[in-house]
Amino acid sequence: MVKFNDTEKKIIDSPYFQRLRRIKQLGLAHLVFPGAMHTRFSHSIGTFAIAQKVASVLSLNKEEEKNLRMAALLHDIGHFPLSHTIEEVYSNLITELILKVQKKKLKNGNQTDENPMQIPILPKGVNLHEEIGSQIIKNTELSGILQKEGFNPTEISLIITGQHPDIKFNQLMHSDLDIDQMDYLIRDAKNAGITYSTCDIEYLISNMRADSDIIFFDLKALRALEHYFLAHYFYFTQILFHKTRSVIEYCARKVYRTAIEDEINIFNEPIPTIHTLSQYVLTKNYYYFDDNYFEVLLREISSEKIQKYKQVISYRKIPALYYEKLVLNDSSSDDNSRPKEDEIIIIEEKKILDDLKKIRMRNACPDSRLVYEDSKAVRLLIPNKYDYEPKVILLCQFQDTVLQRLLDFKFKILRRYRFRD
Amino acid sequence: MPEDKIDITHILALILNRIGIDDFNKIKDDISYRKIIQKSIYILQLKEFDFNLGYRYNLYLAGPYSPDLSEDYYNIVENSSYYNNFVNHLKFDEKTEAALDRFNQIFSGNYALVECFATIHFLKTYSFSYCADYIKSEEVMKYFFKIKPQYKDQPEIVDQATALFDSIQS
Repeated sequence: MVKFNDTEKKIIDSPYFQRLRRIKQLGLAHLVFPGAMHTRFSHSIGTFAIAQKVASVLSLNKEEEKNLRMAALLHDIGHFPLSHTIEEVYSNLITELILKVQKKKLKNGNQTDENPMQIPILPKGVNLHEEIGSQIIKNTELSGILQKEGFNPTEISLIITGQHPDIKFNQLMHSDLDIDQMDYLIRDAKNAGITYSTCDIEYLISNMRADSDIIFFDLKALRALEHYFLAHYFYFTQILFHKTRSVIEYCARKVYRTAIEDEINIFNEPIPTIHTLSQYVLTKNYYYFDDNYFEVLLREISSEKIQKYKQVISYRKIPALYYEKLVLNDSSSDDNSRPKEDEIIIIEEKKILDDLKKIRMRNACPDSRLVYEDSKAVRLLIPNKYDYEPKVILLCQFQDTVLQRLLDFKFKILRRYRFRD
Repeated sequence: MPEDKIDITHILALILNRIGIDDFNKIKDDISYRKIIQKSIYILQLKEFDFNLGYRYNLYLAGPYSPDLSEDYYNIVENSSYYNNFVNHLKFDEKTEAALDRFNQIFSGNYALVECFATIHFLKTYSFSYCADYIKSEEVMKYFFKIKPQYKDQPEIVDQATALFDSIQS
């Protein structure tokens, strides 16, 4: 059972947190996995519960535990309708604008910058919801609740964005095996019914250790760690990259993007753009920026060009998959052809061990305490019998693992769909 | 090269070439190269140099670090011969080249200064932003020497880096 103190209850009761009840963790995956109806709300509570356990195992002091719990509770407060589906629309728009502005700097004929485009102060990448969350924590009523109860809202937001000076927090919230992942891996697998993408999280937590700034695992947890990374791989390939889910999510992003381009109104307010988003989240309209918002948008948008995409979501009229190719480790097989009018091309890829592979490309550090920039990589404590001084090394440097054999493995799949008449 | 084939990695490769990272193969062999790339791109994203590439930085053991940037420069390493060739065929415009020249002039290939300035700037702007102003500087420098103890014996570099904080537009 999860227990909350009075402050945590006030945060949970706030409209910003209650909004998370109306955002499904896996977006539109329930159209494929009917059980995937769980929400960001339950995931946030679950992450909080794991943070409690981790704080106890690592013997964090009262202040550290208090801050970690609050950051875990609030880490997804800035999430978008349909979770990462809509977040990706905004991220892509920002990335495209950044690229457009930077390309203008290339020496190219008579280009001038009479109307320089302003890039909104938001980063590219999938962490957009963290930046939004940070703004909500610092600039809304949540800030007042936190300050009244002795928290520093800026400090909580720094833990969420991985910028806190206590690097332990950054590793616990932003690493290859952080507390967020520990919850969503199990929760999503259970609700989607994919039992082989679960692992023994309790055992992993019980073997976590901390030594000043570094979080690592006892050597006993080695096989559980291997299992974790393999489970994570299956989570991506079986749930996130499911052939039907992929195309449904693609269509949802297409519809939403068209809505932004057409500047439609939802609830009599213009849909937020990348330039107005950071202000929009500070208004009361944001309380209703959830999955229902997307449902209303589906009804409101009338543009003829996206009717077929709407029907994929509204009536489950899934485009037919007519071509699928697994292109393991072969980047030369990239299909560069443009899709025809009634076609969708989706390429999904996942390396099992993105960061571990990068580490292998480097020379091993002879030091017993490794201080690579990849502090987010998983570490193991290796007892050294001869020197009586235990060493902490990176997981990928431990030779006796299945993972070593899989460092180069990249799952990449190309799919072509065609709308049915 | 067709414009629609240029992505952010190409822009990054061009920038790295202009600031002295002229052989991309060295990125994977030398950790100091990677640290300098991380810190240099952090600085170039400041308003003074106006290269907003969208890389967000976290704080880890060796200072500010961007996982997205790491992803992109490893893509460059994996295709190093292509990018080593690409940078010879495209240039930035005069205004942008001037900004890069200014960066090179301020830091003069002094990678210690790049590292100190980027780390101190990040700590002051982000990590210790929750501290009251009157204790911020003290906390920042205490923390800085904790993660970069090698600079305790190089006060002139640290002083130079601290002085730059006021003169470079954030």
